[in-house]
Parts: sequence; C-alpha cells; structure tokens
Amino acid sequence: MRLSVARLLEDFRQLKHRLSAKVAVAIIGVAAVVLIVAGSLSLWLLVGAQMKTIAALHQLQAETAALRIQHFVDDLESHLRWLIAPSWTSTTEEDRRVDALRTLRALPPVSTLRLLDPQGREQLRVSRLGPDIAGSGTDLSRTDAYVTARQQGRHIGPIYFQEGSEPYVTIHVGGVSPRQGSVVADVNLKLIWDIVTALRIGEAGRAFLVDAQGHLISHPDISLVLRQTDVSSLPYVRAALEKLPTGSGDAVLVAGRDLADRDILSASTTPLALGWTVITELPRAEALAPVYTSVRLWLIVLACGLAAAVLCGILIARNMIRPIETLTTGAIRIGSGDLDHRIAISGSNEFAQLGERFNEMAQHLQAERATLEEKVNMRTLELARANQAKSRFLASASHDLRQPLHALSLFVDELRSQPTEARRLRLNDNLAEAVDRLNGMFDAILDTSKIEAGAIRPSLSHFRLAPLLDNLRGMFVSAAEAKGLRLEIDGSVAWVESDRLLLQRILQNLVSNAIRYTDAGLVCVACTEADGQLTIAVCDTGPGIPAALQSDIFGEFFRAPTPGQSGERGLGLGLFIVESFARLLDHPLGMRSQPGHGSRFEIRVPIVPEMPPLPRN
Amino acid sequence: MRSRREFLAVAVGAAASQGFAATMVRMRRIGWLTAQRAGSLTTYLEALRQGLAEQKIAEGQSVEILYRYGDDELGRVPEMARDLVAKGVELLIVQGAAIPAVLKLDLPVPIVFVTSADPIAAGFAKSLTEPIGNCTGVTFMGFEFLGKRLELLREILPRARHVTVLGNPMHPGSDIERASSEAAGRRFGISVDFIATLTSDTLEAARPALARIRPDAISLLPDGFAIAHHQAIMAIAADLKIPVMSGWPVFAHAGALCTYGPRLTQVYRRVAYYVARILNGAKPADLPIERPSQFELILNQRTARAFNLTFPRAILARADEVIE
Repeated sequence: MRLSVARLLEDFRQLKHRLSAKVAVAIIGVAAVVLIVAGSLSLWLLVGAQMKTIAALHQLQAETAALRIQHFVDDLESHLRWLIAPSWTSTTEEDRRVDALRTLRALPPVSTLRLLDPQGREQLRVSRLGPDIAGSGTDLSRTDAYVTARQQGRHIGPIYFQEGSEPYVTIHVGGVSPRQGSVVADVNLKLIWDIVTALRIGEAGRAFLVDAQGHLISHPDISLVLRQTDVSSLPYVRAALEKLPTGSGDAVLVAGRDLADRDILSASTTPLALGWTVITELPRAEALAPVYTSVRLWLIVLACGLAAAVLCGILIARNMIRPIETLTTGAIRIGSGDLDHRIAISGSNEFAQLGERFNEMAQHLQAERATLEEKVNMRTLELARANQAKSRFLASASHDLRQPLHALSLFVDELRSQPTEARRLRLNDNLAEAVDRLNGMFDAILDTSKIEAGAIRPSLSHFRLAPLLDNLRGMFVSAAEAKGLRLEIDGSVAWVESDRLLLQRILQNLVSNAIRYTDAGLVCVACTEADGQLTIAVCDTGPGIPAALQSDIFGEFFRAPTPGQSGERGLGLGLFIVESFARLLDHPLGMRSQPGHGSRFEIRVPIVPEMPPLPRN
Repeated sequence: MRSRREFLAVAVGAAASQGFAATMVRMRRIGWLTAQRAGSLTTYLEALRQGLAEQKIAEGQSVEILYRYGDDELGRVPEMARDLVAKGVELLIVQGAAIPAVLKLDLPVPIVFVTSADPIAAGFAKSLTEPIGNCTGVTFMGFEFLGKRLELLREILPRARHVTVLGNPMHPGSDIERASSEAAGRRFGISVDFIATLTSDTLEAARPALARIRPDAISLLPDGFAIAHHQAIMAIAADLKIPVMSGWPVFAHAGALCTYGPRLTQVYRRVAYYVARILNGAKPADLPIERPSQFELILNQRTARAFNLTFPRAILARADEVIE
C-alpha cells in the first residue's frame, strides 16, 4: 500500500514537473521572445534616432563653430576691404597710412598690413613689431596671391608658423576696380583661440580648426597649436579632411581617440571657403550618455517584464496544473475503489466539466455496484434455498425410494416361502405395482435431470389427442378407484400439434397429482376448444393450494405441506416437470386454486386440422 | 578598502570640524620668486591671481602660494629658491632677473618664468617650442619693442637725434637689447648711449650723466628694475625735462610721453595657465613658450603739451589709450 502511494506521489511529481514546467517555460519563453524582440526593435529605433540626434547636434555645433570662424575671417576681410575702398589716386599717402594704422589697431590678429598700389607694387607697410616702411615698391603683381586676389577679390595663403610657433596666414584682398589698390595682411591665428575656446561642445568636448593639410590652426589647448602639432595622422581628422564637400546629408559621428587618448566621437564640417575644417570631439561616454540611459532603462524594463513573465508563467502553470492534480488524485482514489470520493473543481471550465464527468462516473459505478451486490445476494439466497431443497429432496427421495424397495424385498421374501397360488398372484401384482412406482420415481428424477441439463428437445408432430387421453384413463383408473375417486376423462376428436410424449407426461403428472392430493370426489380431465386452441384442464376436488404457495408449486422439489390422506408423497418434481415441459413446448400453462375448493390446472395446445397432410411424392 | 574608510572618516571629521569641503583637498604649494621688491609687482600679481581664478585655482583653498622677494638683491635668490623647494612647492614661478640664477640651481621642481627677455637668446630655450630643462613660461618680447619704440619716438619727435637708454646690465638678454636698440638707432639716424642702472644708488648717479648728455629722450630697457623705480626715474626725467618712453604702461601714467608694449596684465594672467597645466600633470617641455598677443600704445597728452608737442595723426591712429 505504501509502495503504491509512493509511486502515485512520484507520478504526480513528474506530471507536475513536466507539465507545469512546460507550460511555464512556454509562457515565459513566448513573453521573453516578444519582450526581447519588441524591446530590441524599439531600442534599436530609439537608439538610431538618438544617434541621429546626437550626430545632428554635434554637426550643428561644428557648423556653428565654422560659421563663427568664417564670420571672423569675413569681418577681417570687410575691414581690409574698407581700407582699399577709395580709389588709389583719390587718397593721399598720409590718409592711407592713417587708415592702415587704424585698421591695424582695430584688428588685433593682424600683425602687418601692406598696401599695394593698383599696379601691385607695395607702397606702404605698417607693423605692430617690425618697422613701418613706406614706398618700398616691391612688385607683387606677378605673385599668384595677387593675381587671385585681383580676380576673385580674395586670396588666403597657406598656414605658416612664425618663429616656428605661432600660426599665421596671409590674406590678400584685392580691389574690384582697377583703380583700387589691394591689401595684404599677416594674421596671427593664435587669436582665433578666443573663438575656439569659447565654443562649448557638451561638457568636456572641444572644437578645433585644421587646414587642408591637417595642421592645427586653432585648438583650446593652445600649446598644441604653438608646437605645430600635426593631427592629420588621427583617423577622424583624416576622415574629416577626406570628406567630400558635397557629402552632406545625414550627419555622421566618427569614433576615434584624441591626442589625450580619450575615446571620442567627432563631427566635422565640410571645409570652409578658406579651406579650413572645424572638427569637434566629444568624449564618447558623454555623447552617448542618453543612449546609455535608454539602454539602461530598456534593460530595467526588460528585466521587470521578464520577471512579470516568469511570475505569470508560474502562476498560470500552477492554476492549470492544480485542477489536473485534483483530477488525477480524484481519479486515483475513485480508481482504487473510493467511490464515495467526489472531485471538487470550482468554475465552469473544461476541467470543472471533466471533474463533473468523473463524479458522475463514480456515482454510476456506485449504483451499479449496489445493484450487483443485491443480485449477488439474491442469487446466493436462491442458491442456498435450492441447495437446501436438494438436500431435503435427497433425504425424502431416498426415503421414498426405500419404501417400494422395502416392499419389494418383503414380497420377494414372501415368494421364497412358497405361498399359495392366489397369494402368489397377488404378490405378483404387488411386485408389479412396486416396480411401477419405482419406475415412476426414476422417470421423474430422470426427467428433472434432463430438464436441468437442457437435454430435452421437443419433437413436434400432429396427432390425435384421443389415444393419449385413453392411455391416461387406462393408467389412472385403477389408482382412482383405489382411492374411491371418480375419474372422468372427456374424449376429444381434436388433432393437436405437440410432442406426444412430453404432453403425455404433462397430463400424466397433473392427473397423478390430482389423484394424490384428492381424498374424495372427482378428478376430471376436460377438453374445450377455443380460438384454435385446445384447453386441456385437469380439475380435482382436493384441498386446494393456499395463495401464498401458488407461486412456489412449480419449483423443483416442492411438495405441498398437506399431503393427501393416503400419505403418499411424490418426489415434488411433478409440477416442476409440467412447467418445464410446457415451457419447452411453448404451451401456456394456467392454474386456479382456492383452499377448500379444489384445484384446476390447464394447458393450451394448438389445434391442427384433423388429417395430417399425406406426404406427396 | 581600509584607506577609503580612513579617508571617509577623515573627510567626515574634517567636514564636521571645518565646515567646508575645501579642507578635504590637499593644499598644494607653489612658489613665487623674484629678485624685485614686492611693491613693483602688485598689479601683475593681481593679474596672476585673477588668471588663477580663471583656471579654477583658488589661492588659499586649493593652492597656497609662497611669495619670496629678493628686494633688489639678486644674491639672495638661490637661497630663497632652495628654501621654497624645501617647503615642498610643486612649481616655482620665477620672474625677471631671478630666472637665470634659479635655472642654474637645477631644482627638482618645474619652473614657470615670466621674462621680458628673448628666452632663446637668454638660453632658456632652443626655440619657443623647445624649452631647455624643466622650465617654460612667457616672454614680453621686450627687445623687439626697442626698435619699434625708436620708430614711434622719431615720428613724435622728428628732431630727436640722441636717445639714452637706462637699463639693468644684469638683466638677462640686456646685451641683446642694447644691440637691438643701437641697430634701430642707426636705422633712424639716432645715436643711442647706455647708462647702467643696477640699484637706486646707480640711478641717482645717472642723474648728473643725463644732465650732462641731455638726450632728446630717455628709453628704458624692459627690466624689472625700471618698473620698480619708475617714479624715481620719472622724477629725474621731469627735473631734467627730458621726455621718457617705455614699454610699461605705468610709465605713461607716471608722466612718460608714451609707452608701447605688450599688455602685461594679460601676460601675467597667462602665467596661471601654465601653473594649472603643470599642477594637472603636464610637463613643462610640452608647453611652448608664449609671446604676448596684445600690445598697447599709450600716449600722454599732458606730457606732450608740457613739451609743446603735438601727436601726429598717424600716432593717434595707433593709440590704444590717450591720457589727457
């Protein structure tokens, strides 16, 4: 018992294990996949958008810086252009000098100004540090710078480093009219530093300016500029320098490491009209901080979502598995015979319905078992009674059989003592009678056992009933006379369909019984025809059968408790045989009796036409 | 872990007892060393402090500055420098004439110099980007202005033929400055003679010499001595009715005819940048020597009137400031 319980529990655990785990894993898996896929997608989009924004922002900052530098140069240029605005001949040397000096003072980055006459000869040089020179007449008209400035209005020379340190550029501004002169300014670009330093690129970011060759023109760390640091080897600077001027469109941040070996993201402008490029650099961590925040937030949301999925998965699995467990336990209990057990699952879902079916099944089983038990009890009772009857019969039968045998032995003894002739004749009759009685008894027993063994097969035929009734009369006339009874047997001309022998046994038994239990009066056999049936009735004027016993009289070994005065008792098989044969022949059997008013047994046999059809060959 | 806990304990204790966070930061020491008197540098020290504030260095909170003045006795400089190093300064700001003396000591601390001399000619650097030894700093480019000043003088005083230069011969690069002045003088047809003014005594001694020479103008070498004694010098010049021109704005305010030179306050502010960079771990060799980028011409109209002079238009056009 304990073993099976342990196994049950084990089964249970496995079921629970497998099913709930599978359900939970499925739910969690689906939730996780959905969360991760959807989350990743939205994160991807978000990060993409953020990256675009960040890139655009830095691009914008770089453009702003470029704009400021452009503005600085444009401002410078417009001052210089003012200087050469009047036609050369309309101004005196003195005026030009004063104007040049004023311009020099107004433009701190300019260290030297040179004024060229319309022919391209240097007529005036004013300087902050170097000597002022008037009318040197140096001819610059053939220089590229002069030609370009004359044609395009402006020429910006290459960056050079004065005394190997400060970056300078020479700006050449030419008048549009041939009567105007032109001006050449040496500009100390160290002073752009203020502009570049003032640019705010995030918290720790910075912007710097390089020329087309990647020379640092300006940088918040002025030391780098003064040392002529060549930044062109930095990949992101190279990328900025190689950027096609037309390659606008989406802003792109270039990752790299700056001179201080910081991890940075860099934006750059397309080169300014001056050929210079503004490059911004922002520590990657700072630039990507919003992205990191998004990712962190996403991870938290994902973790929460997964936790919720795990919780839901486990709860749902448990809710699903619990009714199954209840069902399983219930089924096991009902299966093991506890039919009183009822499965209780609340709700109206499939599980509840299944539980209900289980309960109904158990109920049916319970009812079935109760009926079965009742039947078994009845059968057992019947069997016991039959057994009892059999025992009784055996006892009485052996006693009954012994009587004629005893008589036989007495007669045989008498024969041995050489009796008289008359005596011998009487003994002969007596012997024959005793043998007849024994025969009758054995026939009855034989019939009974044949019936019980199902060995009797009726063979139906058409015959005249009259001979059969004659036989009957012959058989019982003496017995009736012996008891002083009147035996009346009607004649009948009818032909019936039955088994001759079995029908004879039926009537024989009925008449025999009637004679046995009737002490005075009449025993009659009457035939009446009705509806194609012949009713053969055996009546007597005997004591009758009490109503309580009427249902039992056809049973095996039943004998009426009140035998006739003769005291002769049958084996109690007569009516059983009658009833059995009538059933075999399918002849309806009827009985009417009232205590004190005699009994009437009747059997109905089908009447057939008088003459049996002759076989025609 | 342990040290962090200790640090926290100390920090909490310090915050509780002192009441402000600054005490948690270790006070860093830097030294200021000059051979001059304190009074001659007040304005510039103020500019330096301003610069330090701009660099987020608060004197007395994160940085303690130990000031040492030689009071015109150059001989005291090495001793003071060693003393500062012994006091644990992390860097030395050395000014003017004290620089060569300090550099000779080969001290184990970085040095930021403020010099009016050409640092290359003075032997402080191979080039502006290559300082020699553990030093870097700023220069006023004093000598470069000598020529320009003579040019301006000649424009203001076209009759000028004779200029006397007063200067400290011990000032590094003074010979170059003299040579540069003489070369410029030759260009403009001006004879230049030189009177050494090393101390107040020699300055007084210069008075009879000036009275005898009667130059058309006095020019001053860009050394600390001139600044320190500008009032005395101006007094002598006023007595002798000789116009003075200099590189330092203080002279214009004290009655000099004009001054042309770098904006000194800006240069001293710039020194703070070097201090900040070096305190943050930069090596002096990585910091190029910077030259001034802003110059100012200051004219004294009052003095001009006293000398019955009119500033020509071209000069007025250049002027950044005209003192009325």
